[in-house]
Amino acid sequence: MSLHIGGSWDPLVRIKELVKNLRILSSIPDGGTASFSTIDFIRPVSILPIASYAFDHNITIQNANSYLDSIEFPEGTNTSEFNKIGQTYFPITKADLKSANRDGREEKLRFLSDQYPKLLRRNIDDQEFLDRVGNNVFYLLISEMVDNIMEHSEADLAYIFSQFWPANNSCEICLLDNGIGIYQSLKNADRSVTNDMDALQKVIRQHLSAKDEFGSQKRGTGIKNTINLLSNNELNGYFCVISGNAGYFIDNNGRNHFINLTQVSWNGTIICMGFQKPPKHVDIYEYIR
Amino acid sequence: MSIFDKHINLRKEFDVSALNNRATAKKLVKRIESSWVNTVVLDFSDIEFASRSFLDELNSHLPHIDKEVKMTNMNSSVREMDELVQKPKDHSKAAFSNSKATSESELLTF
Repeated sequence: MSLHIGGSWDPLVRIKELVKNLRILSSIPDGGTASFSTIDFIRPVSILPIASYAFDHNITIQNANSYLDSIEFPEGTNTSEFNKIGQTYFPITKADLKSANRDGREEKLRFLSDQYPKLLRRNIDDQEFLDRVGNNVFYLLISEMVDNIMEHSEADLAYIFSQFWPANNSCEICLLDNGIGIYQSLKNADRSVTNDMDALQKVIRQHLSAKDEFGSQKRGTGIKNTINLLSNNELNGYFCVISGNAGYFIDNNGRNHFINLTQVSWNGTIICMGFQKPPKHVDIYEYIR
Repeated sequence: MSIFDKHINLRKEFDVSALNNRATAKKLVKRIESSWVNTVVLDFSDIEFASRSFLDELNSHLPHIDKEVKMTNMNSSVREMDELVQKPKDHSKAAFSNSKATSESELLTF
């Protein structure tokens, strides 16, 4: 039962690899053991779901390397320990929502979406990158996705992990939760959806949302605006969402795929967003509806 | 501002520099509704960013509140987002033509 993390920079290849790794993990009983056969180059989307799954199911992962130790794999650090995180130390971050009441959950997630963008910027040692991307890109990407966790997920745990690679001027952010997922969230709001794929397709194509406002259904804008911001010629990025056994991937090269996950399902939602140093300062308001 | 106005400094009220979510807006709406004054001033001093979700939630409730609500000290970023949220959808400046990724989705099986 060996997990494999290869060296590809192609996000779609890494998502395919992640699904394979999750399939392996899901075949291991709780409290069991798995190991890495290969760890070539770790990206947030390659490792965060593995960390979350291993932690939730008490699975021990052997052959972890020193980098994984440095990011506190698999447990991560809690949001309450943000002040201990230094310039070169950027671990997996976890918001434990289990014991909190509604106000407490909101407080933890509000803190995450307020503080994490600042922490991420502090760990990017490239002033030109920061100037061109600006504060707003980080705030927008993280806040819209954390807001979805807060509003719809009913999750006990939310995780976030990011990396910046100065060598190729790119950044990847992965967020996930162990909540009810998109399909169940829409179903609970009495939306007409039949399964994970149907729900995800309606969210992406028709902007279906679980939100109601004064008795009428609202359209979802968070994912739509995030995709608009990432899949363009400025940020040259990509966006991926996995919920249940359905996924969606889009990038600035015209790749645009729904993904059917076989023999594996994620209980909750995984979001992955990547982008590169833009040629000039990005005005987020050109991409928001 | 008169002594009968309620002044809410949002930076201090929520201890954040970015107003990022609907839950915060809902909390703020409750705070406004529970105030006994007729005019509430929302002070955005030191707020760096307000998300679309926050402003959409806030603006959607304001017409239903029986008080005058004034917003002050928005920086240019927050003001631009607020204007965008309040714009009719058809007149958005969103530049979707900039995206190449508009082709029909191909289904993959992993």
